[in-house]
Amino acid sequence: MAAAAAEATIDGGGKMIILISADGKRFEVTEAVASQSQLISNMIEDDCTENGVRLPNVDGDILTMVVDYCNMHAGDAAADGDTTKASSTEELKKFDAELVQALENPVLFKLILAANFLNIKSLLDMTCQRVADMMSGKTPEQMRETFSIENDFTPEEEAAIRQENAWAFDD
Amino acid sequence: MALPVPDAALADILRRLPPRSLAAARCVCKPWRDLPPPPPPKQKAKAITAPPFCLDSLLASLDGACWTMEEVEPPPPPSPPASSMGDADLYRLMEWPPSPYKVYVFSSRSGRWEERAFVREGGETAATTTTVDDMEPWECPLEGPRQGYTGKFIASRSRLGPSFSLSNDKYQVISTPKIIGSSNFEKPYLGKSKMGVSFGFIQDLQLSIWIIKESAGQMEWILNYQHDLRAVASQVHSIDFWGDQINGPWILEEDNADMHVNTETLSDKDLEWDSDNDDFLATEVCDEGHDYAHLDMPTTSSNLSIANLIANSYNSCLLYY
Repeated sequence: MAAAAAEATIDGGGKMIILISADGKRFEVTEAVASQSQLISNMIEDDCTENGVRLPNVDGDILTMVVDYCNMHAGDAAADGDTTKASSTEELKKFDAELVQALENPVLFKLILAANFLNIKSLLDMTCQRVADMMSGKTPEQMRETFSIENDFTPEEEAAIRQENAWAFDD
Repeated sequence: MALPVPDAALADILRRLPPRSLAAARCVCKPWRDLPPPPPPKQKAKAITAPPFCLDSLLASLDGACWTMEEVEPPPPPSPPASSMGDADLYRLMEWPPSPYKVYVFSSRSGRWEERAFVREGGETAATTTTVDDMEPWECPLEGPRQGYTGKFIASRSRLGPSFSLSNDKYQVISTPKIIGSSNFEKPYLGKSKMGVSFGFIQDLQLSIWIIKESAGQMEWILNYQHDLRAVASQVHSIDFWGDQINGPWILEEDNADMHVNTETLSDKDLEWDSDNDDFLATEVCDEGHDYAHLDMPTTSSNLSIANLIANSYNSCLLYY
């Protein structure tokens, strides 16, 4: 795609930005949408988005989700006080909940990585909260099982740390 | 790496865990064990350092800053002539106590201070509305939490005060059994005894003591005790000094060696009370610790107010000044 296309403007919107995933997929989004990423927002400020923004550590399927998320949330970042947004706030919550609930762990972690790299705070909050919710109330064994974490303690080390946190295992 | 996420994100995740789950997470693997403990939530730290139930500063500060600090929603300022008044004036005219009224209560169940907002129950007429201006700073030391203590009074110069109920997060405004005269020397006292919350007042050398009774949600003062103090007046400095009025707060303790301004003991009267009514006042109050057994109430106006914080159905108590 020509560089000129990346700078094309649409009706009532700002400049368009091209995001390019690790596997070469291209996503065209408005500046307002892309600016939810602090990383891209800084790049826009520095005027270095002309040739598209390459995101070498974000896969196309993950970037699809990120772009969907940013498209959905572009309005609330603007906070224009539009009363028609009231209903869409509910929709947003529903959208967010469905987004994170449906994710398999590997995808959830990739989304956290992407949100962290792109510096999209609300998406990072939401995904980290999802992981915390999955851990909450579980025993160490259940946490290892849930996230396929290897127990790398020696028996002595494990006994020591469990002793230290024994209060958490009381009923 | 235990989870395929950056350390910052992992810290973010663990920070969101409740304490028990965080402790469990530390037992999962070495990288999680070795993570630095999350910083304490800022809000909590503030709650601990902020003076619990900071009535004192609420009263002392008339610039409105306390409202913000306590995050109490200020009552709506009175309508006209508001335009000509400064903020300080507006503050003085605010109704006291506000509704909701946030105070810190110490829960012996959870072992923590908790902020509870109390909403006023029942109405009072405009004529008896108490404003901040009716309150005045009064000196009582800030003490640590006391387990099992069931009640607390706070007082103001005005007619009415709140009674807090922990069971339903509401408070009532109750009036004193007697309207206190404008004389500086008519000094009422609040105390707690085995029989409950007591209100004492000396006027014309007559000591009267009321006990509060609660029935069907209504607070009622019962005149419990009256005694003519003329016989002992000459021996009691504070009565003698003012001729016919008592000046200092009475302290219900047996140790009267340490007498100084404002904390003089009236041992003579203690004896009188003991002989006439031997389960009243002196003994139980001392058990509670003498610092808690009395409260001095300011009385330079014609009214007096009492707040009764009752922790009746909760295993908790209120910290108080």
